[in-house]
Amino acid sequence: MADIKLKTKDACSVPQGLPYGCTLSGAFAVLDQIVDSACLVHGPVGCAHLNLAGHRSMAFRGEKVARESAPLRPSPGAPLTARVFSTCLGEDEVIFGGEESLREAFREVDRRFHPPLITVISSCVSSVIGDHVEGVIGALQGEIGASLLWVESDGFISGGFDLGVNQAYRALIEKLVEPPKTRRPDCVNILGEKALALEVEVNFREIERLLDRMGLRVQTRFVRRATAEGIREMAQAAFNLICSHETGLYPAQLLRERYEMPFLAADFPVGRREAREWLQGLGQLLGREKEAEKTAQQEEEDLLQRFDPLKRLLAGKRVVVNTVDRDIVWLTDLIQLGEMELLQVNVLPILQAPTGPFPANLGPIDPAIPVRPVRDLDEVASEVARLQPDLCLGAYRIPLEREGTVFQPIPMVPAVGYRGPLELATRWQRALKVPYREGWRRGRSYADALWR
Amino acid sequence: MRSGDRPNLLLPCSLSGAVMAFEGIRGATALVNGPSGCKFYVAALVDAQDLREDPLDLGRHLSPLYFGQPRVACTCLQQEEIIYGSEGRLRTALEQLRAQRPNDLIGIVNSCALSITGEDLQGICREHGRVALVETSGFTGDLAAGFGQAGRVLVREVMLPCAERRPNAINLIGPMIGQYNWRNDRQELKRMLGRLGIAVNAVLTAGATLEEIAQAPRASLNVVVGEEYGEEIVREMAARFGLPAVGMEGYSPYGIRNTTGWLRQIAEALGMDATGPLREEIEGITSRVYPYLARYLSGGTLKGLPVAIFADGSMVLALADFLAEYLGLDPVLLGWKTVGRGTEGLLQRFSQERRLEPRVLRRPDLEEIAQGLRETSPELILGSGFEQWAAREAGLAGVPFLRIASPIWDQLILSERPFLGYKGVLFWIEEILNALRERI
Repeated sequence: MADIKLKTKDACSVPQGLPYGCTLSGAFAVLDQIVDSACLVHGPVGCAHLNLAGHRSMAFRGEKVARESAPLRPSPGAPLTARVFSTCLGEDEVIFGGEESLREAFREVDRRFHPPLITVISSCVSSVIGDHVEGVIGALQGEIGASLLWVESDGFISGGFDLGVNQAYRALIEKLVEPPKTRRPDCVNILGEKALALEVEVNFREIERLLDRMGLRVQTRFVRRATAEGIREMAQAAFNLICSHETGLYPAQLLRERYEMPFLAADFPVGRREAREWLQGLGQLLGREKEAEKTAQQEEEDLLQRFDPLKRLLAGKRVVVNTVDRDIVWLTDLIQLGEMELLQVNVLPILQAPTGPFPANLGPIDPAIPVRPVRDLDEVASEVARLQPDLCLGAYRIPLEREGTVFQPIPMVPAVGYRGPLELATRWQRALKVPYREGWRRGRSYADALWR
Repeated sequence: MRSGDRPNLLLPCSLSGAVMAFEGIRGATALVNGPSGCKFYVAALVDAQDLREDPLDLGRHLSPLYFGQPRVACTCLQQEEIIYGSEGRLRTALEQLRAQRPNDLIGIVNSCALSITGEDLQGICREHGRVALVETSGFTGDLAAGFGQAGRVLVREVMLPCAERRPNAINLIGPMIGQYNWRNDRQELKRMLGRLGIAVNAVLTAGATLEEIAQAPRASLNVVVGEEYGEEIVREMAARFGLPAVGMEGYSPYGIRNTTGWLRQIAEALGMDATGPLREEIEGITSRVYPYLARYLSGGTLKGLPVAIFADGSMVLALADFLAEYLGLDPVLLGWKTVGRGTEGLLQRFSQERRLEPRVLRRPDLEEIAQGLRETSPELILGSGFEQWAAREAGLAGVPFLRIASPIWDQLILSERPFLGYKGVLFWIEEILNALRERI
């Protein structure tokens, strides 16, 4: 299947032209998700700590977000995430080399935990001092029970976070995934889920629900709470699905090259239009187009039925959208579904250099919708003050508070499928029910605190 | 890989400690000279622990200098700078930062790779006004070590010698914004000292102003709160300004006895008689808590209850002593996130006085914590988000948990509820009785 240009709905906001984060962090984000493995960071303790702490804190919050979801453990008693270790390079190792620390670390982890897999990520320090990680692994593999897998990352020296993610994917696919003994026609893999996204389990549940409607189940999430065995067997699935093209396209292409695995070249869908197209794509891959069409129709009917009670309060409300230069078709469609009046879309281009005249990179929205490129937040604020909407949806906060306008955020990573946007509309409805301007916004002085 | 001498995987590195030292000062700002990956987590922690501005300023925060976060600037180095040097980026960052903060002290903290390549950055620093440089970085120690390193830089480059000292004025050395409840604890310390007629000249560094730091040598005495964070700084100040110090021996001020002992040390060092105010404080607190303790503990159902405590070593031991001596609980497992010079000695004192032999984990990792919890089966756990996580891994998710140490990922503090001091006693008793309510 030809690679089509995929949309950018959940691109994070990164200053232009600056590779962000470090490669080690990107690789860690992937390897930490292999639950029965150990992840060894070859570097000073801070590298392991900041990644470990960052991921555990997000996992904490993510579990609260998805508490009613499917069981969190892949099997009883198994850890939720990989065990993380550090070679704790200090001044001695910086001067005399860290390879002996690395050897000791491999032996200790293997002895204590007997994991099937030990992954190792290198830091900038180990790279600068010239530790030969691959050489250590080559010499040691024979005496260690676990499989040893090195992901070349070199801290930030090689590049940014994205590179680390891809390096990890490539190492896992090239060195761990085995040729398929058989293919399971009802199984799919999911590629590219972002470990740090709070909505990851909520989104997975919705996709799993839609797949179930098509008689499909998920074999391996690559890489999200996966096991070493699950990754080894990935090529036995019928095809691959991409959560987000930024993270999923690369492994999808690798798996297609190595194991002739087809993939659906579409992000997880957001909203009914994309969901319909996505189901149609599934139908084509399975050769069951009519069934897919029927499923899409039923889902849409279900959505409209669930949406109906929300329209009592939403219909007729005047809306302004403040966004950045990314796809918002799902949002404009949701507004239309609520029979709300979209007054204007203000676009602050911060994600990328403009790729053409507006509103091309907003997606194929209704050409009748007024779209205005803006220079800065002050201009956005003055537009909102001029238009006086009931509801102002924003990808960013603006320096304006206005009696009569409710401000609600546009999620950076929108929830997927049919149910995701429904939940967002429910929040709009709730926000519009209560008094517009909360007491705390009225100021801190006694006089200001009095009701006006 | 894992030994008592090794740094703790569950604690930020010395770069983070140095950053927090500077960011805690009003009138100073940290600049990480390194990749954005090094600053990201500590910037998130600083913002969470010392929230200053809302709403988020997209225009400022999205710049390469701040990389999308409200706090902690960074030069965002790339691989070229390792080979060719970071001078260009550092100059640019200093110029941008100076334009935003014309009068601030800029505290540059070098990251690991830059420390290895050994660039001479002092010259650049001198070109940009008030700039201090912490050259050592992540691989030289843990959070406390980094805080001490930055503190020594402040002593050498910011503090001013003085002709005369302020009588009955002390410096508090050791409070830092990375400590979970620093704001309330700082307030309680000031309150208690104020009751004794003792002024706080400067706090190093949580919530201090730059001017206070500069005038720190005017105090009559340095008082350490948490030996791990204060020791290096007081040694440097003693060498440079001849300032004596107390607070490094004995327990930190948690609980009634330990707080009283700590305050008496200070009063004696200043030649003051604190008997009257201390008696009033003690009577005020004990009369408040006594009815509840009499009602809920006299049945003996909590006596000997096994407790696990995880925090900085000085805090752990002081709390263990308080819980054992005052409430009759049994601290069976102690996890030291940091270890000071006096920590082992204090453990021996605890064991002898309380006749208890707790299991001690020194800088444990997650697996050691989970194993320790499984083997000691505590029925109350005090710790950070990591121990909360480890408790679930150990099958102890149902055991009451009190959040007492950073990082805490799911609860912020706004109310006035210190952990330290006499008012801290109210917090501990309230929280413990509430946590174990169904048993009493």
